[in-house]
Amino acid sequence: MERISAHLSSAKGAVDPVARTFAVQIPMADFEGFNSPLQREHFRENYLETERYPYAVFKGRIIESVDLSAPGNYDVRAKGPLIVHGVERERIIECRVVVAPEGVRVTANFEVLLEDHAVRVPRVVQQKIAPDVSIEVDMLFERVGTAP
Amino acid sequence: MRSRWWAGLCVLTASAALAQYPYTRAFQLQDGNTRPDARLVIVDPQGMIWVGGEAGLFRTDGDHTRASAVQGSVTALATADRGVLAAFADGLLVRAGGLMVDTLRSDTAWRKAPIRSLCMDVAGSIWIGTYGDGLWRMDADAAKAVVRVEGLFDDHVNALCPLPAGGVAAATDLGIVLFDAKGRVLRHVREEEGATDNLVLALTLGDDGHLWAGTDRRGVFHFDPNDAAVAVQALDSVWSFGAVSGVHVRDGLSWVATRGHGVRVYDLRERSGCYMPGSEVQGLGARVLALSAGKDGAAWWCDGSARLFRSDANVLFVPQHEGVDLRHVSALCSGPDGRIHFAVGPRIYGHAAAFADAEHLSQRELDLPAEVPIVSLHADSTGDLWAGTMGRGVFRIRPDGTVQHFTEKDGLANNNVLRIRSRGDAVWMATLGGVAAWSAADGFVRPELPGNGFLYDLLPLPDGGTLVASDGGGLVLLPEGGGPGKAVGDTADARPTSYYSLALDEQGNAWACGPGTGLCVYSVNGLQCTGADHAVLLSDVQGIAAYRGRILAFAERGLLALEPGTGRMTDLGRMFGLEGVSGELNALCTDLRGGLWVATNEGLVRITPTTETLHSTTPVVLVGWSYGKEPLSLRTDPHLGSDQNFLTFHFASTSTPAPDLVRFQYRLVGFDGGILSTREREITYSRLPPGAYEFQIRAGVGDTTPDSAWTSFAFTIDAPWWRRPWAVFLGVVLLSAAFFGFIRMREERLRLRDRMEKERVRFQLEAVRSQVNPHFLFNSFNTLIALIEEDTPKAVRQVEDLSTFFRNILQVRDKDLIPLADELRLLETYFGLEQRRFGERIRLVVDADPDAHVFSVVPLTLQLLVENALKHNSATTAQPLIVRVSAHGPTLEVRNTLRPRLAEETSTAYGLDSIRQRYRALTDRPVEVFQEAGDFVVRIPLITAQP
Repeated sequence: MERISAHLSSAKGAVDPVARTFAVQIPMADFEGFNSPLQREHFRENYLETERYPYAVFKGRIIESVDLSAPGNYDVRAKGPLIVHGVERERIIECRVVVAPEGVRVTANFEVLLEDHAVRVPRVVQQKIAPDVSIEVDMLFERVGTAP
Repeated sequence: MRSRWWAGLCVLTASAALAQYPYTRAFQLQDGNTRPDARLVIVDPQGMIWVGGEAGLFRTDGDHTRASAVQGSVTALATADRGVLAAFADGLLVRAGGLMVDTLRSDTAWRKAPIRSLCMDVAGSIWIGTYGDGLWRMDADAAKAVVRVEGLFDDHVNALCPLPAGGVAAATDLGIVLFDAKGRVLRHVREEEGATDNLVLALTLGDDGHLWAGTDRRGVFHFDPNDAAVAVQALDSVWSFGAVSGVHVRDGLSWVATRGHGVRVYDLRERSGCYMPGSEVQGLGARVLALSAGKDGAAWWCDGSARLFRSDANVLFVPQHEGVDLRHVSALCSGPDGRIHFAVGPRIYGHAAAFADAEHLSQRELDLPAEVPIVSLHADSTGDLWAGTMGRGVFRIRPDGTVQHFTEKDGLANNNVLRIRSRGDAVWMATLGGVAAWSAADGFVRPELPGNGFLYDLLPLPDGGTLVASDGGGLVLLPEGGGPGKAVGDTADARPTSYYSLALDEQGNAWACGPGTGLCVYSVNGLQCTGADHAVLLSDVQGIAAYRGRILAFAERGLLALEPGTGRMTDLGRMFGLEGVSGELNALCTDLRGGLWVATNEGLVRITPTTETLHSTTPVVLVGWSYGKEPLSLRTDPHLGSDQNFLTFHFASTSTPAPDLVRFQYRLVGFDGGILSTREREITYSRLPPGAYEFQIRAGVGDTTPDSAWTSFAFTIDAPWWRRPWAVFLGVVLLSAAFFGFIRMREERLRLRDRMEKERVRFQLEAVRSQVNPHFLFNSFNTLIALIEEDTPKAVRQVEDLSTFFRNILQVRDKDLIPLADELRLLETYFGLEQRRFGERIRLVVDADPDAHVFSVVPLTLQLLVENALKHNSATTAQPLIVRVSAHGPTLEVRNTLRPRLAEETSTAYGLDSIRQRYRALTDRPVEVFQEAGDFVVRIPLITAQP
């Protein structure tokens, strides 16, 4: 098993602090890192098929009834469909939300099972690639206006 | 209330050793080349297991899997009254049962969000929970129309559960709402009301009447849906196993499926949290997506792969407990207080039979070297615990903790003690040096025994005697009150027999088993053995026990259950995963709670077979039947058309621990009486003739004869219309009519032929008579006389003609028809004769089409007609009689000028009449006789010559 890590900073998203809904879109082709360019190519072409499924999407609602317009730290659960590789799975993801005057910062850790999203890994590399992928999220949502 | 205080105990026990697991097996799902992924699983009321996933909806009994509806991904699955409800991602909503799949809705316009949950309430209404568009209801009598149910505080419904009093409970992201049957809100259960977590993912009604809710973060809580005053309680207040994907509560067990920590089973009866993370221990998936309880107390669950899992809480493996390795237990017994005692090395442990974590193992270490095993344990009625060793005598452990050690020095027969049992105050021991009987009053007594004294087991009998199992000396009975023992059984058999294990059944009969003996019962009728050639009994038998009316034998090759009444044997080992495990002598005992304990190299195993598993029969379900691929209803009047004779029967064996071992026997009564065996789940009959049939199926486990009664299904294939009674009657009527018609026609034909024959004879007679008519002869002879004198050559010709004429008549006389040409020649000969007499006074004009010669006529017709013409008409030289014979088409015409003679020659009147008669027999066309422009005309129909 080999540790492979990649990151991107081009994810886009929005949070409605009053309705407590959110949507995040991740352009999968933008992932950088990996241990070799070949790995990145495999990631894009063989596994995630980014030409066919360019974006991963997570949208939904925040379960806890917290007031995200008031500054503070909140532990919340984000629940909704996570679409990766064109396959939708409902997920509940625990997030830490830090509300500051300039915006909302969200951090989260969760796992994505390749099998759940029909990402087929050839048998030869199954030894090298874990069946689940750990995701770390750190997003800053800037305040664009006040809710009516 | 009971559960409230044990819930508190859970805090203490959650960290206790988690070392028990229910026996879990994985079953591969496969239908042809499809390996359906199981993301949802439901066991329907019949016991059929339904699996939903991306591949669609499938039904299985664990061993055989068949597609039910494969219109895409299944998003929700629930039990219905006779099957399941399933929702698909593309909007299809179906109700499936057996082979039938009914579409309830296929449109999506009525809702704005996907269906996430379904349920059918007690009134038969279907409730539909969407994720984002609230709750909907389809009433049983509402023709599949849906109405929205108001009153939810959140439109995201995760789970639904029918309430026993009608209505449903709906679990949302923000708590639970209880509705009555009309859709009115009864109650809310949220964190404010005591729920551990608002985000409820699973909801089920336990057999304790409580609603059990599995949450995302805080485990399981439950409450009484009928009584808001009863507090909401948590199953485990310290929950660290993540999101709950399924809960089921039945028979005092709470099954909790988690998304990351396998299936956990809580034993509610034992008033403590009893953890059994079986799936983790056995290396099966920690991720569980859905769980459903079967009718037999086992649970079926899935992890999103093409495997389905069955966990059986009736078979509990305890490989270790509180750090003690239980895979090397050398002796095992149960005490009168319900406790289980077992020996590992020099230590003896005790524990309540239920293995609840609230109680710790009791432990006592004997003063023994490590290499000396404890091989026998016994708890007598006074509470003393006896431990027999190999080589170090026997230990008596008093309830107060004091230990007494007895060896040969104390009068013990031998220091190797293989079995200890007691009756009353007396403790009996089987040693390698004979029997030792001990009592507090008398100390050790050594009854006299034949043989070498190597004993494996002994059994004090209720009547006072004691049965002893010896090495090579067979069974020996020690009589009550002392005296020498005597051999039991067939002493004529010279072979030395050894017995290793003895057991007493509920009727007081003693059972014995040794190498190659089978299971033998000793009763007033002597010793009777059975099953000596059974594979399990041929392997090393470690111990036997009487259990719920059965005799069990634990052997190297399995765990055999003998039903003494029927002699039927079932290998329970294969059903409970005990194949391949081995045990020690004295490795089997039964506890007072009905559990069966086996010490194996996999740990202690507690088997509490349900009554169904042990006693009754292999369950058989007739799933359905189909004509070709078209499913037929099992409920409607089963009358099939005569062409619906290509029938397939689908069956399954549900609720059995080992569906893969089930063998079926079937027959079709009415088709053939023969019984056939299969391990398939469907049987096809093609080209069944009409008739009444009864399909019968039964099953058994393994190679044994089926143990279940026949499950029957009667049906009728109707006869085709032409074989129904009315058609047969009609056919008979028509056939008889045709027969009578034929008879009539034949009679008619015969009569006609008869008449023709008569006519012919008469005609011939007439013709001949006319030729031998004296008048004709007279005229001919007169002519001849005149010619002889005047013209001799002419006279000769006349005689020749006459001769020819008569010869011709003789030739044609017998024929029915002659060609027209022959008839014309005949006529010419005749006319020549007449011409010699009449000279110029008569003339014959013949005018026949060339093609008229293909026709035939009745012989001598023309001659008769011409003769008639000559006879009845005057002929003079001035006015000659001209007879015209013409044949045009199919008609022959004879025409002459009508000039009747004044002196009429007498007529027989036969001439014309006879011709008419003959022709009537031969043709439909009439013989026409008429006068036309002074001519007398006769028209004869010509007859097509028969080849």
